[in-house]
Amino acid sequence: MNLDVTGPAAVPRKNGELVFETPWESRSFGIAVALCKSGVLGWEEFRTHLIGNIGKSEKEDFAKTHEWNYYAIWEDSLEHVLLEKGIVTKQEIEEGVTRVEASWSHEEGSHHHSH
Amino acid sequence: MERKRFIWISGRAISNMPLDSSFGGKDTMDDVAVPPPVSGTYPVPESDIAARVQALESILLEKGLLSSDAIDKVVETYEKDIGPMLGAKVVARTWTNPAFRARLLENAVAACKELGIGGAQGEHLVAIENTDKVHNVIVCTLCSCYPWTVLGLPPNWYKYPQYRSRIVIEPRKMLKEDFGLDIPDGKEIRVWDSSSELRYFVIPERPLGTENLTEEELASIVTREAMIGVAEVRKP
Repeated sequence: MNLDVTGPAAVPRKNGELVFETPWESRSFGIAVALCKSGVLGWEEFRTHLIGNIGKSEKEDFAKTHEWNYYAIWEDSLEHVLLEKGIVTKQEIEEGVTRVEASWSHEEGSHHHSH
Repeated sequence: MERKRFIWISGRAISNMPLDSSFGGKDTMDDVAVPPPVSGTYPVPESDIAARVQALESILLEKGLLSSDAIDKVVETYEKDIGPMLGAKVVARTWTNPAFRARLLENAVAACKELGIGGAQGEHLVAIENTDKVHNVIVCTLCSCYPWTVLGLPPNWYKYPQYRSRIVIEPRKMLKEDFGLDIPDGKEIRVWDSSSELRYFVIPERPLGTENLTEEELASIVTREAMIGVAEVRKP
Protein backbone atom coordinates (compact mmCIF):
# COMPACT_ATOMS: atom_id res chain seq x y z
CA MET A 1 0.00 0.00 0.00
CA ASN A 2 1.34 3.39 -0.91
CA LEU A 3 -0.03 5.46 1.86
CA ASP A 4 2.36 8.28 2.33
CA VAL A 5 0.59 10.54 4.71
CA THR A 6 3.40 11.76 6.91
CA GLY A 7 6.43 12.08 4.69
CA PRO A 8 7.44 14.90 2.42
CA ALA A 9 5.63 13.18 -0.44
CA ALA A 10 2.30 13.35 1.35
CA VAL A 11 -0.56 14.18 -0.94
CA PRO A 12 -1.74 17.71 -0.30
CA ARG A 13 -5.39 17.86 0.62
CA LYS A 14 -7.84 20.14 -0.93
CA ASN A 15 -9.56 22.21 1.71
CA GLY A 16 -7.05 21.74 4.42
CA GLU A 17 -5.59 19.22 6.68
CA LEU A 18 -4.72 15.59 6.20
CA VAL A 19 -7.39 13.10 6.90
CA PHE A 20 -5.11 11.01 9.07
CA GLU A 21 -2.07 12.20 10.91
CA THR A 22 -0.31 8.88 11.18
CA PRO A 23 -0.52 5.44 9.55
CA TRP A 24 -1.86 3.82 12.73
CA GLU A 25 -4.78 6.22 12.75
CA SER A 26 -5.76 5.27 9.24
CA ARG A 27 -5.34 1.54 9.99
CA SER A 28 -7.51 1.73 13.07
CA PHE A 29 -10.15 3.57 11.08
CA GLY A 30 -9.90 1.10 8.20
CA ILE A 31 -10.14 -1.97 10.43
CA ALA A 32 -13.30 -0.82 12.15
CA VAL A 33 -15.04 0.30 8.98
CA ALA A 34 -14.05 -2.86 7.11
CA LEU A 35 -15.44 -4.99 9.97
CA CYS A 36 -18.69 -3.05 9.85
CA LYS A 37 -18.92 -3.41 6.09
CA SER A 38 -18.46 -7.16 6.22
CA GLY A 39 -21.00 -7.46 9.04
CA VAL A 40 -18.58 -8.71 11.72
CA LEU A 41 -19.48 -5.63 13.72
CA GLY A 42 -22.57 -3.48 13.66
CA TRP A 43 -21.88 0.17 13.09
CA GLU A 44 -24.27 1.14 15.84
CA GLU A 45 -22.70 -1.13 18.42
CA PHE A 46 -19.26 0.20 17.60
CA ARG A 47 -20.53 3.75 17.69
CA THR A 48 -22.12 3.21 21.09
CA HIS A 49 -18.72 2.33 22.50
CA LEU A 50 -17.14 5.26 20.74
CA ILE A 51 -19.65 7.70 22.15
CA GLY A 52 -19.23 6.26 25.63
CA ASN A 53 -15.47 6.51 25.51
CA ILE A 54 -15.46 9.99 24.08
CA GLY A 55 -17.86 11.11 26.77
CA LYS A 56 -15.67 9.60 29.47
CA SER A 57 -12.52 11.14 28.12
CA GLU A 58 -14.10 14.56 28.05
CA LYS A 59 -14.77 14.50 31.75
CA GLU A 60 -11.05 14.44 32.26
CA ASP A 61 -9.05 17.60 32.46
CA PHE A 62 -6.61 16.35 29.89
CA ALA A 63 -9.22 16.88 27.21
CA LYS A 64 -8.70 20.58 27.64
CA THR A 65 -5.04 20.75 28.48
CA HIS A 66 -3.40 17.89 26.65
CA GLU A 67 -3.48 16.28 23.32
CA TRP A 68 -6.83 14.69 22.80
CA ASN A 69 -6.53 12.02 20.16
CA TYR A 70 -9.69 10.88 18.52
CA TYR A 71 -8.20 7.78 16.97
CA ALA A 72 -6.69 6.64 20.28
CA ILE A 73 -10.25 6.59 21.59
CA TRP A 74 -11.40 4.96 18.37
CA GLU A 75 -8.83 2.18 18.80
CA ASP A 76 -9.80 1.67 22.43
CA SER A 77 -13.47 1.43 21.43
CA LEU A 78 -12.60 -1.14 18.80
CA GLU A 79 -10.83 -3.25 21.42
CA HIS A 80 -13.81 -2.93 23.75
CA VAL A 81 -16.33 -4.09 21.21
CA LEU A 82 -14.18 -6.96 19.93
CA LEU A 83 -13.60 -8.18 23.49
CA GLU A 84 -17.24 -7.79 24.43
CA LYS A 85 -18.35 -9.83 21.45
CA GLY A 86 -15.76 -12.47 22.17
CA ILE A 87 -14.17 -12.01 18.77
CA VAL A 88 -10.76 -11.59 20.34
CA THR A 89 -9.47 -12.22 23.85
CA LYS A 90 -7.30 -10.07 26.07
CA GLN A 91 -4.63 -12.69 25.90
CA GLU A 92 -4.60 -12.66 22.12
CA ILE A 93 -4.24 -8.89 22.10
CA GLU A 94 -1.44 -8.86 24.65
CA GLU A 95 0.43 -11.60 22.82
CA GLY A 96 -0.11 -9.77 19.56
CA VAL A 97 1.26 -6.54 21.00
CA THR A 98 4.30 -8.35 22.31
CA ARG A 99 4.91 -9.88 18.89
CA VAL A 100 4.54 -6.53 17.13
CA GLU A 101 6.89 -4.79 19.53
CA ALA A 102 9.43 -7.57 19.21
CA SER A 103 9.32 -7.26 15.44
CA TRP A 104 9.81 -3.50 15.70
CA SER A 105 12.84 -3.73 17.94
CA HIS A 106 14.24 -6.32 15.59
CA GLU A 107 13.74 -3.96 12.69
CA GLU A 108 15.30 -1.10 14.59
CA GLY A 109 18.25 -3.32 15.34
CA SER A 110 18.76 -3.97 11.67
CA HIS A 111 18.20 -0.32 10.73
CA HIS A 112 14.83 -0.73 9.14
CA HIS A 113 12.22 1.72 10.22
CA SER A 114 8.84 0.79 9.00
CA HIS A 115 6.44 2.00 11.62
CA MET B 1 15.97 11.93 16.97
CA GLU B 2 12.28 12.31 16.73
CA ARG B 3 10.56 13.44 19.87
CA LYS B 4 8.31 10.79 21.27
CA ARG B 5 4.69 11.74 21.14
CA PHE B 6 2.48 10.93 24.10
CA ILE B 7 -1.24 10.60 23.98
CA TRP B 8 -3.44 10.98 27.01
CA ILE B 9 -6.03 8.35 27.54
CA SER B 10 -8.37 7.25 30.26
CA GLY B 11 -10.07 4.03 31.16
CA ARG B 12 -8.72 1.63 28.60
CA ALA B 13 -10.28 -1.70 27.82
CA ILE B 14 -7.04 -3.29 28.81
CA SER B 15 -5.43 -1.42 31.59
CA ASN B 16 -2.22 -3.31 32.00
CA MET B 17 -0.30 -0.98 29.80
CA PRO B 18 2.70 -0.17 31.89
CA LEU B 19 3.87 3.39 31.90
CA ASP B 20 6.81 3.80 29.68
CA SER B 21 9.94 3.90 31.77
CA SER B 22 10.95 7.11 30.12
CA PHE B 23 7.81 8.79 31.37
CA GLY B 24 8.59 11.65 33.67
CA GLY B 25 11.92 11.93 31.96
CA LYS B 26 13.48 15.26 31.30
CA ASP B 27 13.00 15.69 27.63
CA THR B 28 9.41 14.76 27.02
CA MET B 29 6.95 15.36 29.80
CA ASP B 30 8.38 18.16 31.91
CA ASP B 31 5.15 19.95 32.29
CA VAL B 32 2.92 17.22 33.66
CA ALA B 33 2.60 15.66 37.05
CA VAL B 34 3.25 11.96 37.39
CA PRO B 35 -0.10 10.25 36.92
CA PRO B 36 -1.51 7.48 39.06
CA PRO B 37 -0.10 4.17 37.91
CA VAL B 38 -3.23 2.05 37.68
CA SER B 39 -6.41 3.82 36.76
CA GLY B 40 -7.49 7.26 35.75
CA THR B 41 -5.79 9.34 33.14
CA TYR B 42 -2.28 8.93 31.99
CA PRO B 43 -0.17 9.41 28.93
CA VAL B 44 0.97 6.51 26.83
CA PRO B 45 3.55 6.67 24.10
CA GLU B 46 1.89 6.83 20.74
CA SER B 47 3.91 3.81 19.67
CA ASP B 48 1.98 1.70 22.23
CA ILE B 49 -1.26 2.51 20.50
CA ALA B 50 0.27 1.93 17.08
CA ALA B 51 1.38 -1.51 18.30
CA ARG B 52 -2.12 -2.33 19.50
CA VAL B 53 -3.58 -1.38 16.14
CA GLN B 54 -1.10 -3.54 14.30
CA ALA B 55 -1.72 -6.42 16.72
CA LEU B 56 -5.48 -6.19 16.25
CA GLU B 57 -5.06 -6.15 12.51
CA SER B 58 -2.89 -9.25 12.46
CA ILE B 59 -5.17 -11.15 14.85
CA LEU B 60 -8.22 -10.37 12.73
CA LEU B 61 -6.36 -11.34 9.58
CA GLU B 62 -5.33 -14.65 11.14
CA LYS B 63 -8.92 -15.34 12.10
CA GLY B 64 -10.00 -14.64 8.55
CA LEU B 65 -12.34 -11.86 9.64
CA LEU B 66 -10.58 -9.23 7.60
CA SER B 67 -8.30 -8.90 4.66
CA SER B 68 -5.55 -6.34 4.28
CA ASP B 69 -7.08 -5.41 0.97
CA ALA B 70 -10.38 -4.58 2.59
CA ILE B 71 -8.68 -2.20 5.02
CA ASP B 72 -6.59 -0.64 2.26
CA LYS B 73 -9.69 -0.11 0.22
CA VAL B 74 -11.57 1.63 3.01
CA VAL B 75 -8.65 3.91 3.79
CA GLU B 76 -7.94 4.75 0.18
CA THR B 77 -11.57 5.43 -0.52
CA TYR B 78 -11.78 7.95 2.27
CA GLU B 79 -8.43 9.49 1.50
CA LYS B 80 -8.77 9.81 -2.24
CA ASP B 81 -12.25 9.29 -3.62
CA ILE B 82 -14.55 10.70 -1.01
CA GLY B 83 -14.03 14.22 0.13
CA PRO B 84 -15.38 17.74 0.12
CA MET B 85 -14.98 17.99 -3.65
CA LEU B 86 -18.11 15.88 -3.91
CA GLY B 87 -20.13 18.19 -1.72
CA ALA B 88 -18.73 21.15 -3.65
CA LYS B 89 -20.08 19.64 -6.84
CA VAL B 90 -23.50 19.32 -5.28
CA VAL B 91 -23.45 22.91 -4.01
CA ALA B 92 -22.39 24.30 -7.38
CA ARG B 93 -25.26 22.46 -9.03
CA THR B 94 -27.75 24.00 -6.57
CA TRP B 95 -26.44 27.44 -7.52
CA THR B 96 -26.92 26.92 -11.22
CA ASN B 97 -29.98 24.72 -11.27
CA PRO B 98 -32.97 25.76 -9.12
CA ALA B 99 -34.88 22.57 -9.91
CA PHE B 100 -31.96 20.49 -8.66
CA ARG B 101 -31.79 22.64 -5.55
CA ALA B 102 -35.43 21.97 -4.82
CA ARG B 103 -34.96 18.25 -5.32
CA LEU B 104 -31.90 18.24 -3.05
CA LEU B 105 -33.69 20.02 -0.22
CA GLU B 106 -36.59 17.64 -0.60
CA ASN B 107 -34.52 14.47 -0.79
CA ALA B 108 -30.76 14.83 -0.61
CA VAL B 109 -30.09 11.14 -1.07
CA ALA B 110 -31.93 10.91 -4.37
CA ALA B 111 -30.56 14.21 -5.66
CA CYS B 112 -26.96 13.24 -4.86
CA LYS B 113 -27.47 9.99 -6.70
CA GLU B 114 -28.22 12.00 -9.83
CA LEU B 115 -24.60 13.17 -9.59
CA GLY B 116 -23.34 9.68 -8.90
CA ILE B 117 -22.75 10.46 -5.25
CA GLY B 118 -23.92 8.01 -2.65
CA GLY B 119 -23.01 4.77 -1.00
CA ALA B 120 -21.72 4.24 2.51
CA GLN B 121 -24.11 5.82 4.97
CA GLY B 122 -25.36 8.17 2.31
CA GLU B 123 -28.88 7.12 3.07
CA HIS B 124 -29.14 9.58 5.94
CA LEU B 125 -28.02 12.73 4.19
CA VAL B 126 -29.95 15.97 4.64
CA ALA B 127 -29.14 19.27 2.93
CA ILE B 128 -29.94 22.56 4.64
CA GLU B 129 -29.68 25.91 2.92
CA ASN B 130 -28.25 29.18 4.10
CA THR B 131 -30.35 32.19 3.19
CA ASP B 132 -30.12 35.90 3.84
CA LYS B 133 -32.09 35.30 7.03
CA VAL B 134 -30.67 32.04 8.35
CA HIS B 135 -27.15 30.73 8.76
CA ASN B 136 -26.73 27.03 9.47
CA VAL B 137 -23.90 25.16 11.11
CA ILE B 138 -23.49 21.45 11.80
CA VAL B 139 -22.03 19.59 14.74
CA CYS B 140 -22.21 16.18 16.33
CA THR B 141 -22.45 16.72 20.05
CA LEU B 142 -22.15 13.03 20.91
CA CYS B 143 -19.28 11.88 18.76
CA SER B 144 -18.36 12.79 15.23
CA CYS B 145 -21.27 11.99 12.93
CA TYR B 146 -20.63 13.77 9.71
CA PRO B 147 -21.95 13.73 6.15
CA TRP B 148 -19.19 11.38 4.93
CA THR B 149 -20.81 10.87 1.57
CA VAL B 150 -20.37 14.47 0.50
CA LEU B 151 -17.57 15.71 2.77
CA GLY B 152 -15.36 12.69 3.44
CA LEU B 153 -13.94 12.42 6.94
CA PRO B 154 -14.31 15.27 9.40
CA PRO B 155 -11.45 17.64 10.16
CA ASN B 156 -9.87 17.24 13.57
CA TRP B 157 -11.37 20.35 15.09
CA TYR B 158 -14.87 19.03 14.29
CA LYS B 159 -14.17 16.11 16.61
CA TYR B 160 -12.69 18.13 19.45
CA PRO B 161 -14.70 18.59 22.65
CA GLN B 162 -14.27 22.35 22.47
CA TYR B 163 -16.11 22.67 19.16
CA ARG B 164 -18.77 20.11 20.00
CA SER B 165 -19.83 21.77 23.21
CA ARG B 166 -19.32 25.44 22.49
CA ILE B 167 -20.88 25.72 19.05
CA VAL B 168 -24.20 24.69 20.60
CA ILE B 169 -23.99 27.08 23.53
CA GLU B 170 -22.69 30.22 21.84
CA PRO B 171 -22.56 29.69 18.09
CA ARG B 172 -22.39 33.36 17.12
CA LYS B 173 -19.51 34.04 19.46
CA MET B 174 -17.63 30.90 18.50
CA LEU B 175 -18.05 31.46 14.76
CA LYS B 176 -16.63 34.94 15.19
CA GLU B 177 -13.83 34.19 17.61
CA ASP B 178 -12.67 30.83 16.33
CA PHE B 179 -13.52 30.96 12.66
CA GLY B 180 -13.53 34.67 11.91
CA LEU B 181 -17.06 34.43 10.61
CA ASP B 182 -19.16 37.40 11.62
CA ILE B 183 -22.86 36.65 11.40
CA PRO B 184 -24.88 39.85 11.77
CA ASP B 185 -27.13 40.01 14.82
CA GLY B 186 -30.26 40.14 12.69
CA LYS B 187 -29.50 36.80 11.11
CA GLU B 188 -30.68 33.66 12.83
CA ILE B 189 -28.14 30.89 13.46
CA ARG B 190 -29.36 27.31 13.50
CA VAL B 191 -27.13 24.57 14.87
CA TRP B 192 -27.87 21.10 13.56
CA ASP B 193 -26.84 18.18 15.73
CA SER B 194 -26.00 15.25 13.51
CA SER B 195 -26.62 11.66 14.41
CA SER B 196 -26.00 8.44 12.60
CA GLU B 197 -29.54 8.63 11.24
CA LEU B 198 -29.43 12.25 10.15
CA ARG B 199 -26.30 13.73 8.66
CA TYR B 200 -26.66 17.35 7.69
CA PHE B 201 -24.61 19.43 5.35
CA VAL B 202 -24.91 23.10 4.59
CA ILE B 203 -25.63 24.65 1.21
CA PRO B 204 -23.83 27.98 1.52
CA GLU B 205 -25.00 31.14 -0.23
CA ARG B 206 -23.60 31.83 -3.64
CA PRO B 207 -21.27 34.82 -3.43
CA LEU B 208 -22.17 37.95 -5.37
CA GLY B 209 -20.19 38.62 -8.51
CA THR B 210 -19.93 34.98 -9.58
CA GLU B 211 -22.57 35.13 -12.31
CA ASN B 212 -20.04 34.46 -15.03
CA LEU B 213 -18.45 31.39 -13.48
CA THR B 214 -19.14 27.93 -14.85
CA GLU B 215 -20.50 25.22 -12.61
CA GLU B 216 -17.05 23.68 -12.43
CA GLU B 217 -15.46 26.97 -11.47
CA LEU B 218 -18.11 27.47 -8.83
CA ALA B 219 -17.40 24.04 -7.37
CA SER B 220 -13.75 24.97 -7.00
CA ILE B 221 -14.53 27.84 -4.62
CA VAL B 222 -16.80 25.85 -2.29
CA THR B 223 -14.87 24.82 0.79
CA ARG B 224 -15.41 22.09 3.33
CA GLU B 225 -15.69 24.74 6.05
CA ALA B 226 -18.51 26.45 4.15
CA MET B 227 -20.44 23.18 3.97
CA ILE B 228 -20.01 22.68 7.71
CA GLY B 229 -21.20 26.22 8.21
CA VAL B 230 -18.14 27.79 9.81
CA ALA B 231 -17.24 29.84 6.75
CA GLU B 232 -18.83 31.61 3.82
CA VAL B 233 -17.90 31.04 0.22
CA ARG B 234 -15.86 33.90 -1.13
CA LYS B 235 -15.63 35.18 -4.65
CA PRO B 236 -12.34 34.02 -6.20
